[in-house]
This record gives sequence, structure tokens and C-alpha cells, in this order.
Amino acid sequence: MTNEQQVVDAARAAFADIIDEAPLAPDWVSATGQLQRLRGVERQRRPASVLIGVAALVFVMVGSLAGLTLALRSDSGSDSRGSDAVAATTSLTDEGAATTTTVTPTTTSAATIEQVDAGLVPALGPEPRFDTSGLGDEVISDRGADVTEPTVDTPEESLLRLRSIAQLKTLQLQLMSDPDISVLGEDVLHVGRVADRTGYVLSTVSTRGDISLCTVIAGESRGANWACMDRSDRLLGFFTVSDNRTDNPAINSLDRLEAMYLVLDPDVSVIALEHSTGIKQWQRTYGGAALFVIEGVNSTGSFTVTVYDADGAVMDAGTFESVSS
Amino acid sequence: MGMTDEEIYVKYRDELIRYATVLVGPTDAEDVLSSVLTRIYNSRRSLSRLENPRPYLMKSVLNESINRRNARHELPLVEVAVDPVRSQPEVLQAVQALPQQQRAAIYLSYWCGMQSHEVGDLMGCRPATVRRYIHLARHKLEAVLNDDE
Repeated sequence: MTNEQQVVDAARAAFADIIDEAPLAPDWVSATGQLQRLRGVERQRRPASVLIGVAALVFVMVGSLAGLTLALRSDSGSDSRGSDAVAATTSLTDEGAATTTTVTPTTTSAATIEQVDAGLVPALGPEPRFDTSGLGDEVISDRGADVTEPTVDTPEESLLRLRSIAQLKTLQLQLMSDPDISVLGEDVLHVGRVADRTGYVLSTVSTRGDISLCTVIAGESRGANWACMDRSDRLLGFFTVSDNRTDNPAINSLDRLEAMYLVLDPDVSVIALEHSTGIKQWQRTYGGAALFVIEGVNSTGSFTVTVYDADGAVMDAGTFESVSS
Repeated sequence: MGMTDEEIYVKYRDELIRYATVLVGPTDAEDVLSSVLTRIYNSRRSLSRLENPRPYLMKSVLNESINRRNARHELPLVEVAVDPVRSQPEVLQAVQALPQQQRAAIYLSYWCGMQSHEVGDLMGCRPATVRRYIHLARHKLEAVLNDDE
């Protein structure tokens, strides 16, 4: 039988052989310069409609929960890659609506969470260096009550924590479908924020390694969305327009658009939303997400979302039309 | 006067390229490290502002290695055409076939001589998780060695 020291010695010998083949480490200046050029080429190759066509879903739930029609239209249509990249299932229950979105990885990795001394926290997108005055009103990310928990042990515990937050906020997250936690890795990190003003929970659960990033949005309305994806997703999003069955009269509105865009591309700086009524808002991403709540609009309207990098270059754009029945 | 980001990188780059080579093989190791550098550069975060940039860099290399594998939907095999000098070919192959977390754990433990809490710091996981990775990896390597006997 082999003893432990023999295993260690054999592994060391293997590592010695592997390391012998190690190349020279890249030079700092040439590496960053070269990849910046590559990034420029990649962006030129990437038509705007591809990514947004891939990535957006509009859910409209108005009045009766018996019917839901989903209409999704991209600016110039989506190509096969786009339509393949998002698979969504929706289901309605007697009590409320639950939507599960499963996303297939598309391109390269991203970083919307950053390391600080205290642990990992959601990161702001790059500060815009272009004139944003034409984009309408800036919506400041509501992050007054961040929750950063760097040491949640398991996906199950993280989800429990997520649910406890929701219960504390008296949200009806129980109507949400259970995410497939089997795709989560070990060492789950929970970072999240509780937006007290709007009563939303926007929460991100992420491992520090291979998989993944889950985001939950839940309002007082009877609906919740979640998405779980590989960090290698470069850009994707979903929108939700809730039903209007809130139990909180203070925020109850029959004409209210609630839209969230989730983006994992670290180059994304600003997401702008323009509703067919002419309302325009923009937001700098935070933790890879932008959240819009627009009061006083009819949920049957259409809206356009445009994604910009810090220099104002359009990375993505799409128009989404929702029709309720 | 503190070190610049470039100076910090130069201090750790040999260690980082070896780690990347263990994780993804010599062909992709440079790309992994370049991606880490450009991400740091683009994010405008500064290594010099971190109290200890080494764990951050090591974790970045591991994450980038795993991301690349996931993005390509590849099996966690290293594309290495290593001609064994010291090691047994079966063991070398078994090491290369280990999941990247397990491979990272035994590399940092067996080769670099770190304790599990130190490995955990560099991998971003708990020592208990490190010990489990090592346990799983050791069993696989033991099986190879026992088959060889």
C-alpha cells in the first residue's frame, strides 16, 4: 500500500516536471497594452444587437395572474447565438408569479465584485467619462444597507440567509422558484443589498471560484426573479415588470415599471433606459446590476435599454415591448 | 514611498506564472496571467492599496483559470505536453486530470509547503475545504500509485 509520504513525493515530482515547462511571466506594460488592443478588436467585432438580443426578458404581469404574454424584440433581431444563450421558463401559481431564468455562458469572464480588506464587495461600474446629460435623470444606486457576508459556508446556508433577509423585509420570496443550487460551488459568498426605500431585495450570491452569481430581485409585489450564471457570462440581463398586487399601500401603484438589468461585463459603465412615454433614466452599475423603478407608466409600453462603456461607446442596445393579456 | 502596481507584480510574477502553469498548463499560463493583469488595470483598482496583494493575485489566477475552463466547457485537463523527467507518467497524468481546486490545493500544500489555512487564504476558501480538496486529490493519486505497484 502507498503511504502518504509516497503520494506527496510523487506529486512533487509531477509538479517539478510541470513547472519546468512554465513560460516567462508576461511583462506588465506589454500585457496590459496588448490586451487593451485585443479588447478594442473584440468590441469592433461585436454587433450591439447580438448581446442585447441575447440577454433581455420582459415579464409583464398585470391584473389577473391568469395570463401572461411575453414579447421580446431586439433592435435588429437576434442571431442564433443570441437566441441560444438564454433559456427561460415562466410559471404562474394561484398565489403569485415566479420566474426562473437560466443562462448559458457566452463569452469571457468578468468582475463585478472586488476584493477589499474587509472581503469581497459589490463593485461600482467604471465612472462615465462622457456627457450623460442626454440620457435623462440619473438614478443613484440605492445601496444604503449593504449586506456583506464573506463567510457563508454552503449554498444552502446562503439561500437560507437570502430567505431570512426576505422574510425580515416581509417580502414574499417564498413564491420564488428554488434556484438550482447544484450549480453553485463550495465556499459561497453572499453579498447583497437591501434597498429599504423601494422595499426590494437585490442580492448577489457568488462563489469565489468557478460558479456563479445569483441575483434575486423581489418587491412587495408578488413576484421574484432569480438568475444563476457562470461568471464567464459577459453580458446579459433581464427585466421584470411586476404585477401590482402590493400589500403596502404606501408604494402601491397600478402603473409602475420595475426593471432590472443585470450585467457582468466589468467594462459596462452606464445603463440607460428610455420608456415609450419619453421617460429617460440612467444608472451606473453596482454589483453588476442596474435597477429602475419608474412610476406612472403603463406597463404595456415599450422601453429601450442602451449599455455604454465609460467612454460613451454603445456596447449594447435593445428595445423591449411587453404586452399583457 | 510604497511600491507601484508594476513593482508588486514583478515581485510575485514568477510565483504567479508557475501557479498558472500548474493550473492551465504552459500554453495558456501566460494568457491567464495577462488576463489577470489587464483586469486589474482596467478595473482601476490598485494593488498597492491592498494590505497584502499576494492572496489577491493568487486568487485572481485561480479564478481566471477556472473561468477559462468554464468558458470553454472543457474538462479540467491541462493541455501540457510535459516530458516526465522526475515523475511517473501515470502520476503526472493524474495530477493534470485533477479538478483545478484540488490541483491548486495539493500544489500549494505539497510543493509550496503551506499549511491548510495559508492555502485557504490563497484560494479564498476555508481550511476545512482545503483539507477536503487535499484528501480527495490524495485518494486519486494513491489509487494511481497502488495500481502501479
